[in-house]
Amino acid sequence: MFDIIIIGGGICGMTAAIYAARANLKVLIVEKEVCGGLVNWTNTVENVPSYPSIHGEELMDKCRDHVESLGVEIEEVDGVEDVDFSGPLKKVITSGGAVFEGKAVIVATGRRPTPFPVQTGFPLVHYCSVCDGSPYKDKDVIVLGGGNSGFDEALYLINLGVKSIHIIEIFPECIAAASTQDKAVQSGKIKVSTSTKITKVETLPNGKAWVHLEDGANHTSYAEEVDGIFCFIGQVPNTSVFEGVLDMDGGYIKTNADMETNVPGVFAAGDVIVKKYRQITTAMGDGTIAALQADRYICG
Amino acid sequence: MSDTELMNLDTAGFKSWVASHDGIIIFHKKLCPHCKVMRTVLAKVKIQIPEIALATVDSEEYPEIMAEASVEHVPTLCAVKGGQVQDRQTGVFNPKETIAFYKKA
Repeated sequence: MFDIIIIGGGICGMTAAIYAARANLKVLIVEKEVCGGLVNWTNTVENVPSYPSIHGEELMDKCRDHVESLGVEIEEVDGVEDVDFSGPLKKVITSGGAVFEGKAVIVATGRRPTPFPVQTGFPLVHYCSVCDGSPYKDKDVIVLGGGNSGFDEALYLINLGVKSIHIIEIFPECIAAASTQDKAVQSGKIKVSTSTKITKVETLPNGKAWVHLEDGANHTSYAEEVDGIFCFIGQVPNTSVFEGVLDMDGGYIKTNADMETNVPGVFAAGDVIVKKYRQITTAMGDGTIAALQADRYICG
Repeated sequence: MSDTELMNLDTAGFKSWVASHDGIIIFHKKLCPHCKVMRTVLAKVKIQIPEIALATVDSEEYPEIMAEASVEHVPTLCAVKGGQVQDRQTGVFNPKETIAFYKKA
């Protein structure tokens, strides 16, 4: 039996674990993939104090080492399949068949990438440039999404030797950090189209894609041939297992300022809760508050 | 089992490993999130099937092995049995799915 079970091993969950472990609580992290969450997918993190620039996975490895050094138990590649929060002891059931019990639970399940929004049989739609970028050396790709992820991944692809990248953003402006957008423009290989959406993707006999685009600002349509598509259009919350159990708004968990949910002893924190800003540092702050409040709940 | 316990193969090592082991080779990259997940999955597979042999190929260091094994993306698992790569699987899978892939190959 654990004092606190933390569901989700991203930066929020790991921060909560550090605070809880330092309060001498017995802590378990259950993570469906590996600790680090979406930060693992970020090539360059430049907004965490004390690290002017660091790869996201490196940063998360350091954080995981910190968590492990405090004796926190970590159960990875084991997703949560069901929960029972009805009694004073909270139960967490995993897809691997384990049943864990804890006096309190912190939900820090974060978010996952939004799927490509156009139905297509084209097989070369990717969500990870590190995993899938190499075959696109000297080739042309579309990156869907003009946020930080889209620009960051596009710059990574350029470094791999991709010949040209067309970034498609549905809104009138890209929301990526200005400095990242500047780097992309300076590469000379990245073109950006705003107010534009992909309406259709056809697979050509040569294995490439014929991508149909609609420019909403100029009311024009056109198409272009590309070798692959990379999709970075935001995230959706990982909350399906809590439906009907925790109060939600638009799929995000509702909490008060102390990260308490509608169920006593169950806290939620990080990207998975209703809030305006979702950053590494805000997730760390949420995780801190959730752990401190959970400690108060347990110890009275 | 940590990453360091997986045998890292070079070009010569790949051929001799395939010839002499039944197990799984993971083609991966450093700082690749899906690869990190699959290395952890393989550690769990090893707990469930202690006799399975596991090895890795760094796709950036040895692109020629990628070509030889007909692997383009990472992470890709190659199921090796009877001195040959019997099957390939690319992407993220849980331990149960990975064991099923290996047994079926």
